[in-house]
Amino acid sequence: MAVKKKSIGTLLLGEWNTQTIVGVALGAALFGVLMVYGGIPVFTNTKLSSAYIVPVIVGALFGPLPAALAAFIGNVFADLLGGWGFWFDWSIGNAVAGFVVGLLPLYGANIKAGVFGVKHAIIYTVLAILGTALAFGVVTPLFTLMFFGGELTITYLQAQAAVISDASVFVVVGLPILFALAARYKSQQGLKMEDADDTQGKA
Amino acid sequence: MDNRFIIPLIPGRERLQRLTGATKVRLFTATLFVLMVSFDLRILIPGLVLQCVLLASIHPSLHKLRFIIVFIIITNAINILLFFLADPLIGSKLAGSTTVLFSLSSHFPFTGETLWYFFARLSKIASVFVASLWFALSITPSQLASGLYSLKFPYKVCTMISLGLRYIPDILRDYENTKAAMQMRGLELDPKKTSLGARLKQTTLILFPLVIITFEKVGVIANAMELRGYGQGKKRSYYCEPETTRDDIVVQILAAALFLVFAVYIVTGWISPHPDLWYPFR
Amino acid sequence: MPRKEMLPLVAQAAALVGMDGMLNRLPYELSGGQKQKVALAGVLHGRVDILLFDEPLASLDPKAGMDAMEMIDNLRRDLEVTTLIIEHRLEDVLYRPVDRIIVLNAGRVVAEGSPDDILKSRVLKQYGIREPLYVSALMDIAPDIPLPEGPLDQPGALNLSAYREAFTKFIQVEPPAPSPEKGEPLMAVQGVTFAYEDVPVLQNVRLTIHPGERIALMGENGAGKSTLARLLCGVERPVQGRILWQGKDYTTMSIAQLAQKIGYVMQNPNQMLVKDIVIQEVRLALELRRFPKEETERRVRQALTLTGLYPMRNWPIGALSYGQKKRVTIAVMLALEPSILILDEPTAGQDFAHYTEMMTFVEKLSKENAMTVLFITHDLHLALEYTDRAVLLSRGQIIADGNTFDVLCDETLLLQASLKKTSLMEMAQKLNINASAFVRRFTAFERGLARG
Repeated sequence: MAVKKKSIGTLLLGEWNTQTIVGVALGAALFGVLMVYGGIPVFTNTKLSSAYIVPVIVGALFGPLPAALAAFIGNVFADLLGGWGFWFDWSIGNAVAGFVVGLLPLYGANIKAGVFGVKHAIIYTVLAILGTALAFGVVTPLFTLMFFGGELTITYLQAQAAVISDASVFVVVGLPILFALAARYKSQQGLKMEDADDTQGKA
Repeated sequence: MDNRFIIPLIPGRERLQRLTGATKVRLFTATLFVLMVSFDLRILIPGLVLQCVLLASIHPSLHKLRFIIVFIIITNAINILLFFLADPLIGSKLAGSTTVLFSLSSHFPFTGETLWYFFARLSKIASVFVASLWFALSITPSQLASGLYSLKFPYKVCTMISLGLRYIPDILRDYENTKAAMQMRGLELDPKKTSLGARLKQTTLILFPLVIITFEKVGVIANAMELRGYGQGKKRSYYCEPETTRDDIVVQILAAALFLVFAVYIVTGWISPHPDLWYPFR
Repeated sequence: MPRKEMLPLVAQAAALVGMDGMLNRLPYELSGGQKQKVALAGVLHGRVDILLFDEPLASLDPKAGMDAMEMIDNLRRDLEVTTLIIEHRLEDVLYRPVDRIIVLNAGRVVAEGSPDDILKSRVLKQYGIREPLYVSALMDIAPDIPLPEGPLDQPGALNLSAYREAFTKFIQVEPPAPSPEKGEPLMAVQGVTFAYEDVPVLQNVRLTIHPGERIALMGENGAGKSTLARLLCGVERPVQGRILWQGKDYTTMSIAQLAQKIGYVMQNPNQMLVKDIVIQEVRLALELRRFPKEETERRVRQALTLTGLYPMRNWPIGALSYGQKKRVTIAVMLALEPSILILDEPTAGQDFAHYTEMMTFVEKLSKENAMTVLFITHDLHLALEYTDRAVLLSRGQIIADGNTFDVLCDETLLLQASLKKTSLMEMAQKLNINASAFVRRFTAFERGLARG
């Protein structure tokens, strides 16, 4: 069965239907919850936070743009729940990181069909590191400068910390989960009801 | 489990709360813009006072606030200390002058500017925080969505926000349950007893079921929404949005004025850069 | 649609389902039945020709189930709309009459007809659906007596006098089995009070659990059953009062330590499953506690065998059905060889055939290993068939604690706990015979029949 190859544009945009909207919404909620309730603070506004797997999953399921949105909205939720004020420079950075990390469908990884091999893992890792560096090393400081002006040194320090900690979360936590999810989805495919010839039974 | 404030789901009765979502959103964003951008205490202090007044008008429960206020003070104290250690002269850089009060060492002069700067920063954070408080306590997720929609955000994006907000408590509960389940399996969560590497691995054990449960819901919810006709039309109205009153118009004008202040500030900043920090004691 | 137009329509829909006083409440505050009404109101706008209900009774306690069926029936009449109800709790659906029953199996329609015909043909048994209890009683206890005139699906209208003699004799066949000895208490809950954010959930609860007991913990949704279970497992700790494990206060024990004494199997298996392969999942709890390899393998093997999952040990979790996943979660806790096993709503989401399979092996488990089993449930049938002791919770307090048949045949208690009488009980009352003895005898009888 030949499937029409999707254009880069469509892939970048991701799938948009009601499921996507709900997916982003719940993803953002999960992001917010995890960011505030799960993790260790490393440096002021930065935490080693498990929240970052959310854009990975949303990206894997729906595409990079939804992932970016989930990260952005999720970050705003986290700021709301945590009560430390809204910092949109970081929220935008998060969105960029989410976008890059959510690029999975672009290079052939299809979690819903259970496709995620070593090749994909390598691309993912490289992208995760580059994306985080871009997002928090360049984009966020840029916006901090624009919004707040004159805090460059401190922001840079925070940025380094963020890049290191978030990239490591993306890789160390993200990879196993991607593999596990792919395995879970894969095992749900191509199942046949094995009645008479299967001694291993049903429920 | 959790005693921090989470957006209420029923509109309250105070004047502030009875405004339409559109009004509240405008007021909040304009306020936010002004507060975030300015380091000028002439703006920040009145701003802080205004936010406190707005918050007081809705009679929040102090018990809940106490915990959060303490948390904020502590994190910001640490924040400021680190800022100081990283760059003791930051005040001077922003104000354009240096007035040393005393020195801890040659590397750490204590300048009036820096002190002033930290004070400004504290005020800024405090006012943003108080603003978020009154905003969060006076708006409901659906009103937030309708407010954003009135600002011409596509309504699907608005749904993402309101739906997400509404599900935060549910997901929080799921997180707690999953954590409990893993503790029963034998997961040791005490940070004193585990290495960082082990903790990263543990996180996966809690996250995986949590992710599955969360995204399991997506199909069901999307289905329910579509069953009610979601996504069919280009435009929509909002049930939760009360009728516009005179209060709304007044506040919206106020919000527009604030936004104007913000715009002026930015533009004059481009035209003739002035020191970001207003320091009166030169 | 402009808001002004919406307001009356919303009010109207709410009134149709009886929720018009509650428009300003949070969904979270509502009971399961009320939530359902709200969901229903949401789709009632405009002309509806067919109302389709997918397992409407699934998460409802018995009383709420009755209310739901009433509501559905009333709506059908008021709106003159075709109603389609998908359910396997047939007896509960028949609380209000239906015109036709359609039975599906493996994607095909295998039976269709009026309820009377379907029940008389006993086709339900073939396909793993539980017959209404009274039907089984009438047809199994005294098969020689001709069925009463009238539609079999409306027991209230039937003249059962012909059965009185047969049933009375039936009860006298066997004296009730003596209660087994109790043994030293394993856990004692002493005057425990628990509140959540200043809202009291449990008040002055007193309970003692002995080895080998089979206990049903019942009560309406929100009565505090899950909270009590969490307290027992140490996930929450009492605000007042103490909980003792084998005589000692349990506060010194961590959750992980307690899990080796009390295994808690959650209602949603997905909350517990974290690994890829079944056997890895079962091993996990032991690995986390650093059990030596040999011991781990022995326990894992035993747990898998007891739950019948040994042949499937290398299957990926994603490939399992809901029922199989539930069994995995049981195996997971069994590996720790606890003395008490708590099962939270074990029958939710499963049809009769599958749940019987699972309950049979749980029962075997408890008998062979002298393991106490505590079921949190509102399934009366489960309690009657598989437990000796029933504890009823209502609004955070224990209102009954005793022999299952005695407790569950007491009308006042049933009312308080939002449970409903079984049709057996009603039939017994109508015929003026001892309800609790009848139910007890019938339960044993059906088990005997099932074993063949």
